[in-house]
Amino acid sequence: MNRLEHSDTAELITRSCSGDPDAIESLVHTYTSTVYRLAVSMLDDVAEAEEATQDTLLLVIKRLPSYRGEASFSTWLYTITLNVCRDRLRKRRTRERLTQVLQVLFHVKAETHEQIEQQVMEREADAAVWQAIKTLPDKEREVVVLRYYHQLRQESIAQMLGVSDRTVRTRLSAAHAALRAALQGKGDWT
Amino acid sequence: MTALTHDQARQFLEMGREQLSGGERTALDQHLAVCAPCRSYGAELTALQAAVGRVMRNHWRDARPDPRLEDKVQAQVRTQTMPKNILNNALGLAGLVVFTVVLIAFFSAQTQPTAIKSPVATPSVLPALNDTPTPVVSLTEVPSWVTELRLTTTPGGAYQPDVSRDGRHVLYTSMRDGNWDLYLLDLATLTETRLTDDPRTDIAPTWSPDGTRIAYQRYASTATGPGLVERVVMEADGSNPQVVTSGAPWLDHEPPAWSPDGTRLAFTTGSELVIVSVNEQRELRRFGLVKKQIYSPPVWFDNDQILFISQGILRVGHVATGSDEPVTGPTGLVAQVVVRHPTIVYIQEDGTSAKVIRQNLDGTNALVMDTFYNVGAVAQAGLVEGAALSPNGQEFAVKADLGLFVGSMCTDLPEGQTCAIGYMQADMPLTDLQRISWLPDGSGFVYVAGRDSQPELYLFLGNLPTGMADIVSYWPEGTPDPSKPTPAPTLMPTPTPPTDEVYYEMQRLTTSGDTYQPAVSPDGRQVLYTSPRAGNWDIYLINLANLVEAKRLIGKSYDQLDLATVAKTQRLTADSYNDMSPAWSPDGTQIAYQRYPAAATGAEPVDWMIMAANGSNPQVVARGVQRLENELPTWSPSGDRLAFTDGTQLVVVSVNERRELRRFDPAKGQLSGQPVWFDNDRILFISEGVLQVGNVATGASQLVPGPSGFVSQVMVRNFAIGYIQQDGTAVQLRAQNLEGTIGLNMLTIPVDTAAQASLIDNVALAPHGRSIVVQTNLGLFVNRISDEWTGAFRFPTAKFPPNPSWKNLQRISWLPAYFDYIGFVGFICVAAPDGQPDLYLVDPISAIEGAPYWPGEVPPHSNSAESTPTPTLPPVPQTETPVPPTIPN
Repeated sequence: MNRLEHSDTAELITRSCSGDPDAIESLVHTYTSTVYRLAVSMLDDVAEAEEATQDTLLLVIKRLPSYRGEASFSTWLYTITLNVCRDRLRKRRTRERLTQVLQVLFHVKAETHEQIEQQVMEREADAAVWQAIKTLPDKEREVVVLRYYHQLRQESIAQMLGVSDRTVRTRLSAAHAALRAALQGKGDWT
Repeated sequence: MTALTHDQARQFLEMGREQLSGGERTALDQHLAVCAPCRSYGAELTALQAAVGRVMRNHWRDARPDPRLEDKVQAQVRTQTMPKNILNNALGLAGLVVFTVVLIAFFSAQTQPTAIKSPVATPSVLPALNDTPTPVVSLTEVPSWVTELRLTTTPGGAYQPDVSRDGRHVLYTSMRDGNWDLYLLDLATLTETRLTDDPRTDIAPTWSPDGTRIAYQRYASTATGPGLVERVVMEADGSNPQVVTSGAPWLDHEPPAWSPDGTRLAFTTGSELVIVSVNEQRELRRFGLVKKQIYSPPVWFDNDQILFISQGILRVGHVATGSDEPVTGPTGLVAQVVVRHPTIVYIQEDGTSAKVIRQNLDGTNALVMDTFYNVGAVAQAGLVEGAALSPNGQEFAVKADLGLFVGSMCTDLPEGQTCAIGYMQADMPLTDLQRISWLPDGSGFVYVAGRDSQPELYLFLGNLPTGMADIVSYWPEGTPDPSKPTPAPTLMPTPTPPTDEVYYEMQRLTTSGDTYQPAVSPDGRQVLYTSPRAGNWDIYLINLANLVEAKRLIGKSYDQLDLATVAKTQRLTADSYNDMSPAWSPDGTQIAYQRYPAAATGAEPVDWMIMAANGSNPQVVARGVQRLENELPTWSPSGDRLAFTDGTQLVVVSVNERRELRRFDPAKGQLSGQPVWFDNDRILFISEGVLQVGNVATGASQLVPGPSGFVSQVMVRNFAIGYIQQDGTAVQLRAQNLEGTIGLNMLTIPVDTAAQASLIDNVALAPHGRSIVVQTNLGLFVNRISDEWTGAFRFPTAKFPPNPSWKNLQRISWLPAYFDYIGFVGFICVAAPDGQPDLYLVDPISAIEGAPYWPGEVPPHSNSAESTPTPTLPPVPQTETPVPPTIPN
């Protein structure tokens, strides 16, 4: 973010804090796509990402008065988005586990989405890479997505996640090892 | 900068060049220039990062929000920020004051951080579990036929699970903040409730038989270990903890054993077995006991007799007299004993094998149910630390030093083969904090495993086939060394499934040709039925246990047995009323039924009755205004309430107080299907196809969210409800939680027309949950839940009911999951293959496949009676009207 943008953002935030409806509208307009893109990459579900975007932006507007400018606005926004998504992921996991319990209690075969998903992958090798990414532990997948999809620097990721740079490096390194292991013998995935 | 090591170079590569300082970059370049492996590592890493980035960009390449999303958010934001606009416009001082208060509260909440305790507390006082460190070994992957679900994620681990009697909650212990307390997990929501918050150690919890109370150990730790132990009993919600006995020396984390009637607790202390009275809070009896090698908790046989193992000898103690003696039968050291009425089951070790043996308490009818061979040494045999039989007695889980072994019992395998199906990865703390607790329906068990180093509760759902699938010879030779990998189980050839075209077995249980409405007792040993044979409808009882046992002993088919003698048919009612629709109380001691004048027209009042299981002491519980044909009274799980329909209303009465508790009439519509209790307070019923739940305590009723079609049947299984839903194109069997937040389709029965769908009269889910019986006017169909609907397993010979007006006289009554001595699980229904309606015992277990025909074959929808005689309601006996029993006030 350059200085001019920062200055614009700062003004927008100041006006938004004071309840200026035009500023708030402008803020929402500016950041809806950003939040949505991050939410999709975290949740991998379009419908849920839309809901998360709404939740995040409402939360952001509500919390604007507490934004002190210590982190850049986009970092602050990303942090809130990540927290909203994490909360949704937790609930989804519980839901999935409960559904799984139900399925097994009633001896119902689970529907497999994997095959359908693989068909839409353009290359078989890409499917293997995607599968490897999906099976990473949450914390590792989070940094991989932020680093290689959102192209964020390690310091920014550390700030968003509220962890040290070293922790981000450790998670990335663990993710690399896990990905390498998962892709071993899966043909040419490059 | 000095030259880099390989590790440093790779670390730099992992970090990425842009993260490095100038000096670091130079050093890295210098290292790579001379190190081919690191160059290759770097190239691979770059390729990996590029591939990961590319794949994610492709996957989310269209990740743009719907334009309407922003509009939606803008609208919501406007609503949210409205008070500020109002404030800015200075529209009122009151608004200003309120807003200021809110603002102050908001900021103060933001600026005053509260101290947050670390979720992971350092264990300061750990109970001394075992002298040796906890062995955690990993043997093999979880077998493919097993589903293992993690239930808890706790800060300090979860131990000693005990599944509630209704299968909906798991009681367990967990240490938080350095202190052990008791917790409750709701299986429907996977949410945790803390039951105790005591500075002392609360551990070893166990449910009372009626599920209303919890007994546990409590003690304060001292510098030298645990101090004196108190045995405490509290309510199921954690309230009202009462010390039943105190001062017992601590031995280990043995849960107290409740007597079947919940009045007594048993536990071992040092060298004695102590029996205490829960209500009187005093000691009743002590039996001498020497523990050796293997620990097995005491087990009550009935309220007076308790089984325990002393020096490997199985003994039975009599609380009334204080005497105890060895149990006749065992020929080796007994490691474990459980009670499966009327038999006991124990594991006996003789140094070369471990046998699972079932026998009567007096030693008769002993049967070796399974043998674990190749147990090379007593030491190895002694590795069996705990065994838990499934409620139906057909499956087991054995905790051993090696891991957790699960399997199905087989009694007919040649020596040297074991029908244990396989074993689980150990990875579990093999301490006395482990516990295997089966779900009440036998579909799985909860236990402790440490898959990622922290012990947590897992649900094992093995879907164990009986006597089929992979048979493994699993017990490794020699004494296992946990530090060495154990060879994987050797798979033996899968037995060939039977090719016989007869896919089910039907055993005729009655021969009189006039029996209807069978109801199997909760223990599976007796069957009630109704018959008009004595001039009006009466209730009869046959002894199923005698029949089955007689067949087993003399090897004849049922047709060759003298049924009247063996079955010991008893007539339970002999009045001039029509006595119909009997239903067993949950404990099997009482029978509820309806009676009405023999000159029935269908519109007369009905008496709802109860009587003892032997037919004595019939009493009126309530009087209904309008009789619904042959509807069953429905007992609440605790057996103190009855529900029945009265016209368009659902009535709940107190059995003991003989008074009406509640009347639900939410939709003014016709009630259909049988009401089903969800728990002792909530009852599910269907009004005009809409599934509702009524709360007896509050009188409120509400729709159950979830169903999207016309509901015709509802059932309850553990925490889940199942229901039949029809929408004109299909009939679905669905399952969901009561809240409707999760749901899934279990089985779809395709139908061409609504008329076809309406032909489904009744559906009965098996207690083991794997099959359903669908009653139509074509006959009965059995389908496995896990399969597509094929309609394959039909009873074409059932021919019941040929007359639609009879259909309410059919009952599909599954044998309980507990019913083990018969050797199979099935149901009892009315069938008339020879035109004579009689009771048949049906075993669909061997139903593999058959020709699908539903819905290709259009079901006849005719009212014409076939050759089967129509049961006629007898004329009114010309006697004086009997005086109904007086209703107590």
